[in-house]
Amino acid sequence: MIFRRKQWLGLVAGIFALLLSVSIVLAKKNTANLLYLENQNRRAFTELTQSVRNIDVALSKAILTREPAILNQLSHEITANAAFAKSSLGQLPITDVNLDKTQKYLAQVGDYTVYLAEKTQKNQSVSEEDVETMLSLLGYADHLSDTLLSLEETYFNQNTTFSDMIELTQKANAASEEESDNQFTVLEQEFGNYPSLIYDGAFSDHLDNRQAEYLSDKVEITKKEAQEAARSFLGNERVKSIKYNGESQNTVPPTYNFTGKLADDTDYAIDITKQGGEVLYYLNSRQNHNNTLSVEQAMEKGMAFLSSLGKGNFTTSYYEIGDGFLTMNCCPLNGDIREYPDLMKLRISLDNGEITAYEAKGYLMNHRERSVPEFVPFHPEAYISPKIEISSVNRALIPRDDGREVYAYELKGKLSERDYLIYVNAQTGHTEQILLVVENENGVLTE
Amino acid sequence: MNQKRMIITIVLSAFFVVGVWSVAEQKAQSANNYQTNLQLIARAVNGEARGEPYEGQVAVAAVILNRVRHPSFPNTIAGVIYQPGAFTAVADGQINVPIDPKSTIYKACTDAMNGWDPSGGAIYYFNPKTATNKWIWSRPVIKTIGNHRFAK
Repeated sequence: MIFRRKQWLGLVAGIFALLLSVSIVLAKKNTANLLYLENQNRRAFTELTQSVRNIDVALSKAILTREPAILNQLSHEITANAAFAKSSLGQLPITDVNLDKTQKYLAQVGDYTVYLAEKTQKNQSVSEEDVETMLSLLGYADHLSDTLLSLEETYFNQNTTFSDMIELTQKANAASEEESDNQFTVLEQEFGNYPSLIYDGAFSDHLDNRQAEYLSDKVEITKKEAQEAARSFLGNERVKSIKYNGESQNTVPPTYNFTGKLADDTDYAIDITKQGGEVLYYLNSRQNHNNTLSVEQAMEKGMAFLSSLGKGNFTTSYYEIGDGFLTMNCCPLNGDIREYPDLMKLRISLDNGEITAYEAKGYLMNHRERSVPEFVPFHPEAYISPKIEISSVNRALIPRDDGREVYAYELKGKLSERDYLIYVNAQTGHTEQILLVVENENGVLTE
Repeated sequence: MNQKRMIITIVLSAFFVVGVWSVAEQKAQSANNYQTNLQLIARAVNGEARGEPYEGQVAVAAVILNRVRHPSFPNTIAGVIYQPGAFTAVADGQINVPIDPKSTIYKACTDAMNGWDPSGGAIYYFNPKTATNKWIWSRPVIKTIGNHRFAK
């Protein structure tokens, strides 16, 4: 068919009109999406600013009280606002600077006031050092709050996007400095002098500086000796190839790292500690689709393997099963006491009971000779609901978030169809932790 | 005329079937927090470390978990993964796409969630061949696995 000129023009005009209307529709949609996104950013920024202001106010009140009940209330307020501030900060599209010091401040400010509140509840007094720390935290809160409030003023008085607003601050800073940074970068830099805080809390800085207890008296070995240790762990006849892959530094414990292939061509990786030549972890990537072993049989293989390591007696706590493997958690026994901080993990294949992965960081970081203190007589009725049916009581050592270890009675009990593990402090009789035991087709896990 | 009507009916029923099928596919399988977290981590690791050795995939998953525990990052797995600029799978939308349920990535992420950390406690990682961010090169390096350097 050959078109005549008039029909060609009609066709072209028609296509043009179609394209024009499609692009108008798309442009409108784009504007709507950008506006929605900008509104989300504004909301996050406003929440951040208000939460930080609330932290500032609560901290100013906290520095003058010594009353446990008030400190408790204020510490909860600070923690809740800090968590919200952290979450809002994490939503903002600030990608050209890492705000890790600002985030760290927000994590520690709540954590620290909770530590103080707990201290006063135990009738311990707030020290001079604590007061100094609080004043310092308050100083940073003031600064952070002022910066955000002034940014908010700029932001709200102009109809710009969040990213544009940040760029504006960069230009403003350029007027006064050689290299211009945006306001968040400047803020982050000012946190540079933020001191490292050491206290009993999950975010305390001392947790970064721990040493591996089990390795403390062991001798440093050579790369060659480490390779021998790796071969011997895997079983010489099972190793097809082994290659040195460098060292791990800036970490505890430092290791020599190896990879290779097993006799059945499975890839593996194994890290050996420089001190003592212990296996830190072993991982192989074999898949398994034939489940012939039962949970009990697989766990027996695991326990037999642990015995062969010559590190004393172990018992298992919980396990996970799926995808052809069983992963079990084992802790050493000091007499009858289960030492949970010294955890060892094994992944066992359900076709032949092969140990396909091994993890000993908990053990190497924490295991040592310990002297066990007297346990107070066991009277759970004081702190736990009498309706719970207790099925067993064990003695254990448990780790706390702040890095300390605590001796406790471990109770297994059932209440309203739910299974619990309750840890009761062996020195004070107070409850340390309550865990919900969840048993399903994935194994036995705790929440 | 009859032919035309038949074609329209076939086309419309095809749309109907596709519509129902796609809705059925979208039903998520989260029985508890664990499954949701495993899915999120697996999709993020898939976007970042698909072609890496198994140990490298476990290490990237471990970095996500290390960040959750670290004061400088959000306190939840979703918070860490959705942090703007942190993961390419989030930036390009792959994070919202289910991956093959038989993928070995799930095994790698399960190992990491069970406590294996080949990264040595790292909270950052980068590919030295492609990383343009000046700041990340200044971080103390722990070790290298495959194409990734893991750092604190």
